[in-house]
Amino acid sequence: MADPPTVSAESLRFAPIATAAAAIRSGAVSPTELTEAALARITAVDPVLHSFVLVTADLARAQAARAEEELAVGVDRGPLHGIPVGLKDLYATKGIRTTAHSRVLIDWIPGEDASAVVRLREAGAVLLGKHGMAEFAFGGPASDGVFPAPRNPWNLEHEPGGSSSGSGASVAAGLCFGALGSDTGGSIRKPASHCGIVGLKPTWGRVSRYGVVPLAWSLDHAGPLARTVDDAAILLGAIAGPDPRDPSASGEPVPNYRAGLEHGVRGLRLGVAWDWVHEMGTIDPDVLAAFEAALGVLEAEGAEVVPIPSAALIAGRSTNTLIITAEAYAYHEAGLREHPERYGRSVRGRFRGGAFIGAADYLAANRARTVLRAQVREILEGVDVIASPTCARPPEPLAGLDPDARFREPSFVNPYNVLGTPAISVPCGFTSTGLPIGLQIAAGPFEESLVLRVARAYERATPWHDRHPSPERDGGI
Amino acid sequence: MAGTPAQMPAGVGAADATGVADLLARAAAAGLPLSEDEARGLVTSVRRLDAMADEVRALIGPSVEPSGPVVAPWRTPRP
Repeated sequence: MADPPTVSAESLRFAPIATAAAAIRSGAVSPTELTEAALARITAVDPVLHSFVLVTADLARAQAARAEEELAVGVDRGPLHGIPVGLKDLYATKGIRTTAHSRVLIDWIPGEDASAVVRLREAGAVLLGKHGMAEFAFGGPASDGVFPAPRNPWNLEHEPGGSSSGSGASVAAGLCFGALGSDTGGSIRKPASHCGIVGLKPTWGRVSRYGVVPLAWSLDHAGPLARTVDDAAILLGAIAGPDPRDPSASGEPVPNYRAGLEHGVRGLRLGVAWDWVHEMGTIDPDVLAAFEAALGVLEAEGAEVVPIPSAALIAGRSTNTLIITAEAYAYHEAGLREHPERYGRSVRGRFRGGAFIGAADYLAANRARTVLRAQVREILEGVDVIASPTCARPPEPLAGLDPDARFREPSFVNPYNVLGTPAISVPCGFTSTGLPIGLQIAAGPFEESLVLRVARAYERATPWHDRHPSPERDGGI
Repeated sequence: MAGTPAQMPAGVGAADATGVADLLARAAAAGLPLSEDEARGLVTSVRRLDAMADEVRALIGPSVEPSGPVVAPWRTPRP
């Protein structure tokens, strides 16, 4: 009998998960070879990318060896079996330092895994390590951080987007096949957009948050960052579902998110809130052009683009900001009183703003949330999904980054945290200077399959997901 | 567009003595350690949060009915 064809693990660096999984099943490559290739790439590239704050090489090698042993005796845990992945460093990992990228938690060794981590392990994934992030998922890229700030793999002098910054950079640069991030005001979708990959914020409660360091309890979402829409569907399928340890985790049945990916968009109605897109008049011309071109692609695929009202989506930002800031302060109140110097300057300032939000204002924001949900539910009775750019502007240079700049541009991401509805970012082009641009597709509660399907229809019709960065070249490695 | 969330009321870009003193007093009442320099750095963001609070109050209108997890099945009078 002929030996199975072999491929180098290095050649699979940017392969979709399903392709790598098929290569493992065929015997062309082993989980150990994939893991060693990923560890070698981390060693080579991460000194300039700073996407990992901790590499768990020994654990990864042990998990890869176990994955091989299981496959050899017919135990197949599915498409993630033997696939190397990373975790934003706010997912608790048993016996492994978990810091949320902060000095405050620098000595924390959790006694148990987050539920999503348990599920990834049960799916056979190999943990390469913990990804850098914005401090406590709220700070900006900080020069006084406990670890270096992750860089954008498309241009190391630019931000990768946050707060799941290391996860976005790492997945895009081929250091891992996928990652878990968290999203309280766009923190999965922004780095996905800025790094040229796919990021999915599911419905609130779709994925357990047990063991995920909170930013704002009522807005936090856990979800995947991946290089393709199918990869995101695979990762979400592994981690979604009820969890007795998280009362906010939904019991809604988990569908097969890959099943309808190829069904296309013919007959679907895409709502576009044009006043929102042009709010403040600060959208970048390259972003606007890419977004309009993306709508053209989806129309060519058979979708109908329909204008929708903007007011509720615009108002989502204030509501989100008030709730985040108040809830984050509630979580950090004792720490800010007792050891404020352990917080970075950026995040300390943002958290402290929460001390000045009154209870009545917090409750007003929560009442506004209900109003906005009703308004958007009405909009979604007329359209299937809502499309927008993911970010109004491309990634900014890290040098001289103005933390207040975000308030001079519309936010297309954080209204969906207030609404709790699913939203995905998929690559939709590049600026004239070669920086990635993202397209966001959002839908009603538990419509993850629909946003994945629309994103996949767009991805299938465009070449953007086939482009990959070379940070090793930019970094002079 | 009027009332956009981040747009600050006129004149709110720089800290002023009144704003700093007010923040220091509010921080002391909340038991939050805050230096004058830190308060100066916070004035703009706190005013932005205040403006956002005005905005969400405008959104929910004059009704005092609760919403969110608790929904009153009746209209309650405005006190």
